[in-house]
Amino acid sequence: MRRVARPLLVMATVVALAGVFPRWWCGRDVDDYARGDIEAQRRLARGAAAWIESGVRPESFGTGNPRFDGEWALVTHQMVVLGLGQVVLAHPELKTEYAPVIARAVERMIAPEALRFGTEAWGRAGLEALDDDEGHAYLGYLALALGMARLLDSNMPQADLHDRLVTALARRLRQSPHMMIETYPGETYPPDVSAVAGAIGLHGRATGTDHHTLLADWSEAVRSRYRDPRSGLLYQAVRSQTGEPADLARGSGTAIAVYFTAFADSTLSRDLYESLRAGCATDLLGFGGIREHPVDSQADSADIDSGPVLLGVGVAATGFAIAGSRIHGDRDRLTTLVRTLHLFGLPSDSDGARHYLTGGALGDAIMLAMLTAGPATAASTGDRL
Amino acid sequence: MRGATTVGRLRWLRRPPVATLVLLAALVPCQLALEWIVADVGGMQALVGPVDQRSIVAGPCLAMLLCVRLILVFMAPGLILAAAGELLLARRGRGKQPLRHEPGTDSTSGSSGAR
Repeated sequence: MRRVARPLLVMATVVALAGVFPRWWCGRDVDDYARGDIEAQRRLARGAAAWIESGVRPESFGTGNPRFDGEWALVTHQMVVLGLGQVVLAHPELKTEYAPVIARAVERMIAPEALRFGTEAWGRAGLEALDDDEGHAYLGYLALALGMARLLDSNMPQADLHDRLVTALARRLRQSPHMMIETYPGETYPPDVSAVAGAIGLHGRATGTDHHTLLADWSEAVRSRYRDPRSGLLYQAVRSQTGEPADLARGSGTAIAVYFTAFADSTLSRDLYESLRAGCATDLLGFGGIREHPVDSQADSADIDSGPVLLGVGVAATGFAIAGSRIHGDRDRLTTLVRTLHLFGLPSDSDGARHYLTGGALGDAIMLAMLTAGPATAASTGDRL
Repeated sequence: MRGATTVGRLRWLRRPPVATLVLLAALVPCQLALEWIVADVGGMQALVGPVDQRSIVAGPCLAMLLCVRLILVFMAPGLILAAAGELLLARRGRGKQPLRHEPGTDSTSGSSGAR
């Protein structure tokens, strides 16, 4: 009898605790992240800032494609600037600590080698062609970072460049017949254009410039043309000439667009987030994930944008959705997503800095921005619409 | 004879609850070592690019690390509690055993490893 009873007892204990302990253990930081605890944000900030201090460059990544390496280096710097900016806006007493890091990151982002991937795609440096009508939508990532830096320091040295860049992007968006501009020749990605729209919105917030009409028209175009009518998700890519969908509506693109769009139109951002939650959110034992494709979709592909997709759950979609849950006050979703982040992100704390071991420089930078995004930093511009 | 004595002394390790606790304890340094390796090669990003030395190291290490982490987070608490409970019950059972064989008692009952 003991031979049967012991394994049964052990199994029952393991199953009972598996439903309770992991969700508590992995969710210990949720409260701190939800209320923007200064020490929790400082750990994230120090971890991400350390990468900027160590000098992240395109060569730091090994995607096998120089364009992706360049994009990753640019996004790493952008997310650090946005994240540190959000930390400083929430805790102004930290400004003196992080303002130099933000300044350094911005300087690196505008250096020719940081934007070489775009220069090689277009045959001309984007910042030297601001009077032209070519898209260069990847510059929206730079413009967003400049906007955050300017929000903290209206007299920053790059203020003139920021004005010229946003003016050029706004003009191109206005002139586009589909309210979409190309990232690279023949390649148009609505999530990238959401970064452009967010940059325009943040520019308005930082300088007082009125971009109301343009952003309202862009939001209307997104609602009517670039969301999948069934799922409400954002198309990952569209055809440059016609604006027709060129890829499926996906979780990763929608999740990052929720964050970027919040700087321009919080209502559109919320609508995208609701669609993401309704169509892609999934839970198991209190751990949450965001599917790369909606539940009822047959698609299961993964690419450089989605990151690894395990059992339909996308790494990028899950990580980016943390920002949406924080911005739009979805505490339950934030809780389950942070648990998943803790379980698979492998957080490691040392010297007051937190690193996510599976994410490297890009992962630390993105998590800083996502875990510190909030209504106070993102939605204000949209509320003016 | 000396060897037999050592083996005899270590016989308690073969008791299921103790062996479970020892194995779980051994997983902790395993996790730390794997975390160090994974962080050193760049984490998940090493898997994105072409197959090279980094990805060959990162792939298996990351898979093992996630397995170890899942065991430690999802199974270890229950296993530790069950093992502790079993050891406690065995200790109490042994404590209740009479020192001498008395009529109507069975001194071999109680913990399987308390002899």
